[in-house]
Amino acid sequence: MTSRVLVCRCEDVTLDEVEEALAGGATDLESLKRYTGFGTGWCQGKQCVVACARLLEARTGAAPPAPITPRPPLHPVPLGLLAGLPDPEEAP
Amino acid sequence: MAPRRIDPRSQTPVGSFLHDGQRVAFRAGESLALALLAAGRGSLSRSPKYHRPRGPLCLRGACEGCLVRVGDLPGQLACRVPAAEGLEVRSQNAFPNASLDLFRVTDWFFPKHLDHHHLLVNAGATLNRAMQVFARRMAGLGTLPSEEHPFPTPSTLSVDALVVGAGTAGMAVANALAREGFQVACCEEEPRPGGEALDRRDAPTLTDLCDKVRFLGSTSAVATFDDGTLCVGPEGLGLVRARARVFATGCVDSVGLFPQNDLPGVFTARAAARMLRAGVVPGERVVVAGSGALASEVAAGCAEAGVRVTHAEGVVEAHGTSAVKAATVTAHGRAEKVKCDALVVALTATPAYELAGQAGALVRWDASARCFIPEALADGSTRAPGVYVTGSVRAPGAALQARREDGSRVALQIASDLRGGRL
Ligand code: FES
Repeated sequence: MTSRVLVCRCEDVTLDEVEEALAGGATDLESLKRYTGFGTGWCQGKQCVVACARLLEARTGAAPPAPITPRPPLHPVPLGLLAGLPDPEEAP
Repeated sequence: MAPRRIDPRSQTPVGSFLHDGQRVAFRAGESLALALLAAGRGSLSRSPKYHRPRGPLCLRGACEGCLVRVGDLPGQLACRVPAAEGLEVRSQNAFPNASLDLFRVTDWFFPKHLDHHHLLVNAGATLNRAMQVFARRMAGLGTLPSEEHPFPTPSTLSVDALVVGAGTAGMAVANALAREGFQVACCEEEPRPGGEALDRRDAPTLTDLCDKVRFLGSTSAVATFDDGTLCVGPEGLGLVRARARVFATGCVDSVGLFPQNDLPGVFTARAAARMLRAGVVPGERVVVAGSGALASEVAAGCAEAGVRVTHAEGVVEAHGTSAVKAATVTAHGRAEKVKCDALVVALTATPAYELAGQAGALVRWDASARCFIPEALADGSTRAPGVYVTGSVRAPGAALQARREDGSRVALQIASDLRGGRL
């Protein structure tokens, strides 16, 4: 197996890739996310957002002030469950 | 070797389910992931791009290592699904199965990394299209259910306060508010309340969750809005409306950035402690790297079970192809390669801030802890009215006693806000 340091396990983003993105100018959390795709997988960044923020801080000397927006759902949820919710537009 | 039960006869199995066609027995209260680990089935899926083997890492719903197909639903976290008789569990994103996956060659084809920008963007239109089809095939998100499922109507519940997380702080808040006569619901991803204290023998004696609290076990709060919090549990989806929402969501652990940090057999200290609590050792030769209460707990539990334990300060590299076979670690300032079949990493935990953030709390970088923390006053209130945080989610690394005191303090504020008609 190729030796890799995984920063984001869900999207298979390696330390190599993050460093390449940082060197290429993705020096804020949002651009780094958009370029590498970290934090966009199943777990939505529960571990890798902090790891990337720390790498960013080490690289640029400035930590990102806030994380990427934590969007619902927190865990994978079958769409069928959500489909049963009342339509907020129609709710009394 | 792999994880195994310390004494297979000590508890009798209460049932069994199928994993990739093989029968796996489980004990009372176990999750699918725990029963699978105890049966030595630690490889559950393959990673999306490189098809590297994946197994449970955290046992607290904070990674992707335990994703499986349950029945015909793909993408279920095996550590959050209670084991039940007759379930059919399958590994996903692997062909023919997770232990032997032919698409693994991708890992060798792209030794540097698979740069999707260049593959997909700079390749010219035809090749681009071909690559997209290929990438979609390879990328592992499971397969959709084969049958249509009905849309169940969610249950609804209205309470004065909803506490998310029944750890030390969450229990303190829930109990205090219930004793004051408020209607309180408390949802917890584990089947039992207790949180980290359950995994530690040095924990101060647990007071039970007050029976006036409506306890929602094995239930995850997955989204929260001003007009309700969506909770997914054994009964399906519930919509909980609460005047006060308290996030006592604790922390998640990471294993750090070292080569091969994603191998099955690498566990967080919390996961290993949880396995030991259930009578399962993480391996036959265990390396415990790092320090802290959970690391000591794991080392002591392994030693008691007669498993060889090596202590280390840090990890340089893990070795192995389909699971951990050895680790290069530092101890007393020297690097050394140690044979092992489980590598337990105890790093500082970082706050699970997501739900508090969704609810409107300001989440900010903390320069000394070097992580993101939801901002709150001493009384637990955040900038969002009716949204509170308590426990280690706002004080990572706090002692259990301090978390309990924090919960009691925050409960006072919530009680006064509820009474004062401010919520
Ligand atoms: S999410 Fe289940 S082991 Fe991490």
